[in-house]
Amino acid sequence: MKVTWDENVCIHAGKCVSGAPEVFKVEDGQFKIDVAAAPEDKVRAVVAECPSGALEIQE
Amino acid sequence: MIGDKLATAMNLFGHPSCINTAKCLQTAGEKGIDVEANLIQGPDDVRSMSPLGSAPVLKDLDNVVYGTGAILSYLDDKGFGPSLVPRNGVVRAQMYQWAHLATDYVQEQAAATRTGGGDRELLTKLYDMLEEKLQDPRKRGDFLCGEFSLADIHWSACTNMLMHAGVSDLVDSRGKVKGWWEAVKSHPSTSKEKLTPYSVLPTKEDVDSGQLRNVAINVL
Repeated sequence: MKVTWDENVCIHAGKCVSGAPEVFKVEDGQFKIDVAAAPEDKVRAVVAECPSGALEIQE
Repeated sequence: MIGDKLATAMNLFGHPSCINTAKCLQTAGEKGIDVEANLIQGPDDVRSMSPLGSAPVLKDLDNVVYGTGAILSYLDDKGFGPSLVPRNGVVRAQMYQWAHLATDYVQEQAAATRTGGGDRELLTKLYDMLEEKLQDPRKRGDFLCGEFSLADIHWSACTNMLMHAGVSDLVDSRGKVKGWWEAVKSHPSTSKEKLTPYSVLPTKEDVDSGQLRNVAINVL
Protein backbone atom coordinates (compact mmCIF):
# COMPACT_ATOMS: atom_id res chain seq x y z
CA MET A 1 0.00 0.00 0.00
CA LYS A 2 1.22 3.50 -0.88
CA VAL A 3 -0.22 6.87 0.13
CA THR A 4 0.11 9.80 -2.24
CA TRP A 5 -0.30 13.50 -1.42
CA ASP A 6 -1.43 16.18 -3.86
CA GLU A 7 -0.17 19.51 -2.54
CA ASN A 8 -2.35 21.42 -5.00
CA VAL A 9 -5.47 19.91 -3.47
CA CYS A 10 -4.36 19.95 0.19
CA ILE A 11 -6.19 22.50 2.38
CA HIS A 12 -4.01 21.83 5.42
CA ALA A 13 -6.86 20.71 7.65
CA GLY A 14 -4.23 18.83 9.65
CA LYS A 15 -6.30 15.67 10.15
CA CYS A 16 -3.37 13.50 9.06
CA VAL A 17 -0.62 15.04 11.21
CA SER A 18 -2.88 14.99 14.25
CA GLY A 19 -4.45 11.59 13.53
CA ALA A 20 -1.25 9.66 12.84
CA PRO A 21 1.77 11.86 13.57
CA GLU A 22 4.07 8.86 13.30
CA VAL A 23 3.04 8.44 9.65
CA PHE A 24 2.35 11.98 8.48
CA LYS A 25 4.94 14.53 9.54
CA VAL A 26 6.68 17.70 8.44
CA GLU A 27 10.46 17.50 8.51
CA ASP A 28 12.71 20.34 7.35
CA GLY A 29 9.72 22.00 5.75
CA GLN A 30 8.84 18.88 3.74
CA PHE A 31 5.70 16.80 4.21
CA LYS A 32 6.70 13.16 4.63
CA ILE A 33 4.66 9.97 4.74
CA ASP A 34 5.91 6.76 6.32
CA VAL A 35 3.15 4.19 5.84
CA ALA A 36 5.17 1.54 7.65
CA ALA A 37 5.07 3.49 10.91
CA ALA A 38 1.50 2.46 11.78
CA PRO A 39 -0.89 -0.42 11.14
CA GLU A 40 -2.50 -0.34 7.71
CA ASP A 41 -6.03 0.05 9.05
CA LYS A 42 -5.00 3.14 11.01
CA VAL A 43 -3.41 4.69 7.92
CA ARG A 44 -6.52 3.94 5.90
CA ALA A 45 -8.76 5.49 8.55
CA VAL A 46 -6.72 8.69 8.66
CA VAL A 47 -6.60 8.96 4.86
CA ALA A 48 -10.39 8.55 4.81
CA GLU A 49 -10.65 11.53 7.17
CA CYS A 50 -8.81 13.87 4.78
CA PRO A 51 -11.51 16.39 3.79
CA SER A 52 -9.82 17.57 0.60
CA GLY A 53 -8.87 14.22 -0.87
CA ALA A 54 -5.25 15.31 -1.12
CA LEU A 55 -4.27 12.00 0.42
CA GLU A 56 -5.06 8.90 -1.58
CA ILE A 57 -4.27 5.24 -1.16
CA GLN A 58 -2.65 3.48 -4.09
CA GLU A 59 -2.90 -0.28 -3.74
CA MET B 1 -28.24 47.84 5.33
CA ILE B 2 -26.85 50.89 3.58
CA GLY B 3 -26.09 49.97 -0.01
CA ASP B 4 -27.55 47.79 -2.74
CA LYS B 5 -27.69 44.06 -2.28
CA LEU B 6 -27.77 40.92 -4.34
CA ALA B 7 -31.03 38.97 -4.34
CA THR B 8 -29.55 35.76 -3.04
CA ALA B 9 -26.55 34.61 -1.09
CA MET B 10 -23.75 32.83 -2.89
CA ASN B 11 -22.52 29.45 -1.67
CA LEU B 12 -18.87 28.93 -0.88
CA PHE B 13 -17.52 25.45 -0.34
CA GLY B 14 -14.32 25.46 1.67
CA HIS B 15 -12.59 24.84 4.96
CA PRO B 16 -11.43 27.17 7.76
CA SER B 17 -7.86 25.86 7.56
CA CYS B 18 -7.74 26.66 3.84
CA ILE B 19 -6.09 30.03 3.22
CA ASN B 20 -7.74 30.33 -0.18
CA THR B 21 -11.16 29.93 1.45
CA ALA B 22 -10.23 32.75 3.83
CA LYS B 23 -9.35 35.01 0.88
CA CYS B 24 -12.80 34.39 -0.63
CA LEU B 25 -14.61 35.13 2.64
CA GLN B 26 -12.67 38.36 3.20
CA THR B 27 -13.31 39.48 -0.38
CA ALA B 28 -17.04 38.77 0.01
CA GLY B 29 -17.07 40.87 3.16
CA GLU B 30 -15.17 43.66 1.45
CA LYS B 31 -17.58 43.67 -1.47
CA GLY B 32 -20.77 43.41 0.57
CA ILE B 33 -21.75 39.94 -0.65
CA ASP B 34 -23.63 37.48 1.52
CA VAL B 35 -22.04 34.06 1.43
CA GLU B 36 -23.40 30.84 2.82
CA ALA B 37 -20.33 28.91 3.88
CA ASN B 38 -20.41 25.16 3.30
CA LEU B 39 -17.82 23.12 5.14
CA ILE B 40 -16.39 20.42 2.92
CA GLN B 41 -16.42 17.06 4.66
CA GLY B 42 -14.82 14.99 1.95
CA PRO B 43 -13.32 15.23 -1.53
CA ASP B 44 -16.58 14.38 -3.29
CA ASP B 45 -18.06 17.65 -2.00
CA VAL B 46 -15.93 19.63 -4.46
CA ARG B 47 -15.00 17.02 -7.09
CA SER B 48 -18.55 17.08 -8.42
CA MET B 49 -18.29 20.82 -9.04
CA SER B 50 -14.66 21.45 -9.92
CA PRO B 51 -12.37 19.65 -12.33
CA LEU B 52 -9.52 20.87 -10.13
CA GLY B 53 -11.00 18.80 -7.31
CA SER B 54 -9.88 21.39 -4.79
CA ALA B 55 -11.48 23.91 -2.47
CA PRO B 56 -12.70 26.58 -2.55
CA VAL B 57 -15.58 26.49 -5.00
CA LEU B 58 -18.17 29.25 -5.35
CA LYS B 59 -21.72 28.61 -6.50
CA ASP B 60 -23.87 31.57 -7.47
CA LEU B 61 -27.26 30.31 -8.68
CA ASP B 62 -26.29 28.20 -11.73
CA ASN B 63 -22.77 29.57 -12.00
CA VAL B 64 -20.00 27.48 -10.53
CA VAL B 65 -16.64 29.22 -10.16
CA TYR B 66 -13.50 27.32 -9.20
CA GLY B 67 -9.90 28.42 -8.83
CA THR B 68 -9.20 31.06 -6.18
CA GLY B 69 -8.15 33.76 -8.63
CA ALA B 70 -11.36 33.31 -10.60
CA ILE B 71 -13.50 33.37 -7.46
CA LEU B 72 -11.87 36.57 -6.19
CA SER B 73 -12.36 38.20 -9.59
CA TYR B 74 -16.01 37.08 -9.66
CA LEU B 75 -16.69 38.47 -6.18
CA ASP B 76 -14.89 41.70 -7.06
CA ASP B 77 -17.02 42.15 -10.18
CA LYS B 78 -20.35 41.10 -8.67
CA GLY B 79 -19.99 42.99 -5.41
CA PHE B 80 -20.24 46.63 -4.53
CA GLY B 81 -17.82 49.48 -4.02
CA PRO B 82 -14.55 50.18 -5.84
CA SER B 83 -12.70 47.35 -7.57
CA LEU B 84 -9.97 45.57 -5.65
CA VAL B 85 -7.87 45.66 -8.83
CA PRO B 86 -6.21 49.08 -9.28
CA ARG B 87 -6.99 50.86 -12.55
CA ASN B 88 -3.53 52.36 -12.95
CA GLY B 89 -1.40 49.94 -14.94
CA VAL B 90 1.76 50.37 -12.87
CA VAL B 91 -0.08 49.98 -9.57
CA ARG B 92 -2.03 47.04 -11.01
CA ALA B 93 1.22 45.27 -11.91
CA GLN B 94 2.51 45.85 -8.39
CA MET B 95 -0.72 44.44 -7.01
CA TYR B 96 -0.33 41.23 -9.04
CA GLN B 97 3.34 41.02 -8.08
CA TRP B 98 2.56 41.15 -4.36
CA ALA B 99 -0.39 38.82 -4.73
CA HIS B 100 1.95 36.37 -6.46
CA LEU B 101 4.50 36.59 -3.64
CA ALA B 102 1.83 35.78 -1.09
CA THR B 103 0.22 32.99 -3.07
CA ASP B 104 3.33 31.23 -4.33
CA TYR B 105 5.67 31.72 -1.37
CA VAL B 106 4.07 32.94 1.87
CA GLN B 107 0.94 30.81 1.70
CA GLU B 108 2.59 27.39 1.60
CA GLN B 109 4.81 28.26 4.54
CA ALA B 110 1.95 29.80 6.52
CA ALA B 111 -0.17 26.68 6.08
CA ALA B 112 2.72 24.40 6.96
CA THR B 113 3.59 26.46 10.03
CA ARG B 114 0.19 25.76 11.53
CA THR B 115 0.76 22.02 11.31
CA GLY B 116 4.28 22.16 12.71
CA GLY B 117 6.38 22.80 9.64
CA GLY B 118 7.11 25.87 7.58
CA ASP B 119 10.36 27.46 6.50
CA ARG B 120 10.91 30.21 9.06
CA GLU B 121 13.93 31.60 7.24
CA LEU B 122 11.94 32.07 4.06
CA LEU B 123 9.05 33.65 5.95
CA THR B 124 11.46 36.08 7.63
CA LYS B 125 12.83 37.06 4.24
CA LEU B 126 9.34 37.55 2.80
CA TYR B 127 8.13 39.71 5.69
CA ASP B 128 11.35 41.74 5.45
CA MET B 129 10.41 42.35 1.81
CA LEU B 130 6.93 43.41 2.90
CA GLU B 131 8.41 45.81 5.47
CA GLU B 132 10.64 47.31 2.79
CA LYS B 133 7.71 47.68 0.40
CA LEU B 134 5.62 49.42 3.03
CA GLN B 135 8.49 51.81 3.79
CA ASP B 136 8.58 53.02 0.18
CA PRO B 137 8.21 56.83 0.44
CA ARG B 138 6.43 56.90 -2.94
CA LYS B 139 3.60 54.74 -1.60
CA ARG B 140 0.41 56.50 -0.52
CA GLY B 141 -2.26 55.13 1.79
CA ASP B 142 -2.18 52.45 4.45
CA PHE B 143 -2.14 49.43 2.18
CA LEU B 144 0.28 47.56 -0.04
CA CYS B 145 -0.62 49.42 -3.22
CA GLY B 146 -2.11 52.50 -1.59
CA GLU B 147 -5.81 51.74 -1.51
CA PHE B 148 -7.03 48.37 -0.22
CA SER B 149 -6.61 45.81 -3.02
CA LEU B 150 -6.45 42.07 -3.72
CA ALA B 151 -2.78 42.18 -2.70
CA ASP B 152 -3.90 43.00 0.84
CA ILE B 153 -6.44 40.17 0.71
CA HIS B 154 -3.73 37.65 -0.28
CA TRP B 155 -1.32 38.80 2.44
CA SER B 156 -4.05 39.15 5.08
CA ALA B 157 -5.25 35.56 4.75
CA CYS B 158 -1.67 34.28 5.08
CA THR B 159 -0.88 36.59 7.99
CA ASN B 160 -4.10 35.58 9.73
CA MET B 161 -3.05 31.92 9.57
CA LEU B 162 0.45 32.74 10.84
CA MET B 163 -1.11 34.56 13.79
CA HIS B 164 -3.16 31.46 14.55
CA ALA B 165 0.07 29.43 14.38
CA GLY B 166 1.54 31.65 17.09
CA VAL B 167 4.22 33.40 15.07
CA SER B 168 3.00 36.94 15.62
CA ASP B 169 6.59 38.22 15.89
CA LEU B 170 6.80 38.20 12.08
CA VAL B 171 4.35 41.10 12.26
CA ASP B 172 5.02 42.64 15.66
CA SER B 173 8.77 43.01 15.13
CA ARG B 174 8.32 45.06 11.96
CA GLY B 175 6.91 48.54 12.44
CA LYS B 176 5.42 49.07 8.99
CA VAL B 177 4.06 45.52 8.75
CA LYS B 178 2.49 45.93 12.17
CA GLY B 179 0.89 49.19 11.07
CA TRP B 180 -0.38 47.55 7.88
CA TRP B 181 -1.88 44.65 9.86
CA GLU B 182 -3.63 47.06 12.23
CA ALA B 183 -5.00 48.92 9.19
CA VAL B 184 -6.28 45.65 7.71
CA LYS B 185 -7.97 44.67 10.96
CA SER B 186 -9.79 48.00 11.28
CA HIS B 187 -10.45 48.59 7.56
CA PRO B 188 -14.19 49.08 6.93
CA SER B 189 -15.78 47.54 3.86
CA THR B 190 -15.69 49.92 0.90
CA SER B 191 -18.99 48.43 -0.28
CA LYS B 192 -20.62 50.81 2.20
CA GLU B 193 -21.87 47.90 4.26
CA LYS B 194 -21.31 48.17 8.00
CA LEU B 195 -18.75 45.43 8.17
CA THR B 196 -15.08 45.04 8.89
CA PRO B 197 -13.95 42.41 6.37
CA TYR B 198 -11.24 41.16 8.73
CA SER B 199 -14.02 39.95 11.04
CA VAL B 200 -15.12 37.31 8.53
CA LEU B 201 -11.68 35.68 8.35
CA PRO B 202 -11.61 32.34 10.19
CA THR B 203 -10.62 32.79 13.84
CA LYS B 204 -8.25 30.43 15.61
CA GLU B 205 -11.29 28.83 17.22
CA ASP B 206 -12.89 28.37 13.78
CA VAL B 207 -9.74 26.71 12.46
CA ASP B 208 -9.23 24.50 15.50
CA SER B 209 -12.85 23.39 15.62
CA GLY B 210 -13.36 23.08 11.86
CA GLN B 211 -16.11 25.68 11.77
CA LEU B 212 -16.83 27.82 8.73
CA ARG B 213 -18.89 30.96 9.33
CA ASN B 214 -21.22 32.62 6.83
CA VAL B 215 -20.67 36.15 5.59
CA ALA B 216 -24.04 37.47 6.72
CA ILE B 217 -24.72 41.04 5.68
CA ASN B 218 -28.15 41.33 4.08
CA VAL B 219 -29.76 38.07 3.05
CA LEU B 220 -28.77 35.54 5.69
